[in-house]
Amino acid sequence: MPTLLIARLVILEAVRRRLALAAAGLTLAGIGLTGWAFVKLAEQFGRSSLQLAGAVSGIVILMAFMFVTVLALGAALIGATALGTELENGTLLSIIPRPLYRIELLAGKWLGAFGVVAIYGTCAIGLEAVIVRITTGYVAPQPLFSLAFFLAIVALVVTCAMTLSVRLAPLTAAIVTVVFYGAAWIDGIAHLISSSLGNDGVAQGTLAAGLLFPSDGLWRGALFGLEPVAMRAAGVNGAGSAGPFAVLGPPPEAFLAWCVVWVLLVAWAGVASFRTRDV
Amino acid sequence: MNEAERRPAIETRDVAKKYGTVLALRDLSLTVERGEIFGFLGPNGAGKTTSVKILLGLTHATSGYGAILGQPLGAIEARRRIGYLPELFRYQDWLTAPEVLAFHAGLLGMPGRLQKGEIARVLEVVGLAGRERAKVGTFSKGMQQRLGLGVALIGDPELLILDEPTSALDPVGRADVRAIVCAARDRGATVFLNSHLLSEVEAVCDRLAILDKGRIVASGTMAEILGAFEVRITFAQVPVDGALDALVRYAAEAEGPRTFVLRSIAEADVPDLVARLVRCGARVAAVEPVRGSLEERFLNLIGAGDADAADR
Repeated sequence: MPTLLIARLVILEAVRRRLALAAAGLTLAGIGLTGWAFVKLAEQFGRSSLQLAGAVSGIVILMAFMFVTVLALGAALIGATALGTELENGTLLSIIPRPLYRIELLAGKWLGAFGVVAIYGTCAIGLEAVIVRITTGYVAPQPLFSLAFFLAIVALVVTCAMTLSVRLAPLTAAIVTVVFYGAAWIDGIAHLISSSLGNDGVAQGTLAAGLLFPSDGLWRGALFGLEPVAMRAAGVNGAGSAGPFAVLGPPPEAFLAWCVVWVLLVAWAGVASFRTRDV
Repeated sequence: MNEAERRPAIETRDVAKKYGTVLALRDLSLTVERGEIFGFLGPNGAGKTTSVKILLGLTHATSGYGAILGQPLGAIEARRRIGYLPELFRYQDWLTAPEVLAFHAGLLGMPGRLQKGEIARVLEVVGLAGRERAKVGTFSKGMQQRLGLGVALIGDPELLILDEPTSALDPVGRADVRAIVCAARDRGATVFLNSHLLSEVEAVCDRLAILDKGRIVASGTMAEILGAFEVRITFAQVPVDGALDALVRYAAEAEGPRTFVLRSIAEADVPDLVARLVRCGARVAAVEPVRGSLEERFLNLIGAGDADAADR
């Protein structure tokens, strides 16, 4: 099946070009350092203390935020270059005339790019969760729930970057996607602030703007799975709203449905654009 | 043989391509019969590669109609039977040559059990046997072009479309390509050879078309393109009357007292004529064909195009 052949090639490229090796080395170093820090914290507070659980849960959320940013950057770069570089350098000239539809080619590239980031993300998150569990005994309330949202962010970013790379240079496509991602996060904070200030106009505007690139809403879904149950029950800051690193509940189903529609719409735009593109 | 199989390998009618306001290709109408080597000539920027890309569905025609192996341009079914070497060839430099070929064999739907033998055959044909372990990134430009030729040959395609197939090759490589192209025709394949190397086209092509500024300025067999066959005969001495009589029927024109150009003679009649001249007692010093070379004809056509453009 052409799609799987192409996806396999994208993953193989990440391995052969030592991207996987570099990512694995850096991640292991990071996990080693955080593991050492968690051991020290456990020694300081005692393994079963509430203080340790509170500190570790906060650190895990902060690390998750940093890591999802790394994943999003990686997804933007890999998503933009998987197709865009081969369009630009002419490698696709010998592939497109083969008996495959362009949608199969695009799907293969998407699957490969998503696969590279998703496999890396899942392994890194899984390993870090194991280290946290071993060193401190702490387990986030719904780690798989959070992982699903992390992967949803990856899917969103890869789809955007790849669609843009059909018509833009790979670097441009990656940068534009990263800007969208950053703007969405800032928009999310603006929404929280305007909501807490009771400014309905700005709150509604930022809510709508957040739907244009719904990565921040997905981050908040991931956050919900990492947030200690006690923190949720306390209503976070007691004012019925949360900060950038806390949420009151999971994202509404309508929002999740919109995310699915968003990915499908952007992917469709990419396919339509690629189908008519002269190579 | 069904209707599609009876149709020419390539046929286009009034195909045009516009990039913005620039007309890159205008009214391209050509027919390439099955089993022939068709040369597609033209100077740089004439529209050759655009034409090839349209044939393969890489680029979309602005207007016109075309079919390839009996299927509409870009049809998946036809692409299964086409091998293509792009002008700007580039392959995954982090793969080995067998891996690149296996990838393309997979895209063709070739079963895994057949791939190993086919890859070994193709590597042998293109002269890359023995380099199976090397990454493509370590290949010279010429070796990469050989690999590209291998990618085009995998699966024994019915139609080979080669866009400047010898641009990076040395003379040995060029001779190899000529042999590969002729071997493909001998097994019944059609070869569409896009080139601006006139000697290459002259050596192997059955028919050709010359493209200039996006339109075909000449097409046909080599003889049709080059014009009538003529012969120049030079005698060691002023020929005797009997010899002159023999020359007259071939519309001979004297270039000098001992040199004549025969304007109307078939190539097959030349040996008989020479024998007759010798019987008449003439001492023939040289017999040479005076048909212009493809290069001369090409330059004339392109020059005529430039003059037309200047007139307009």
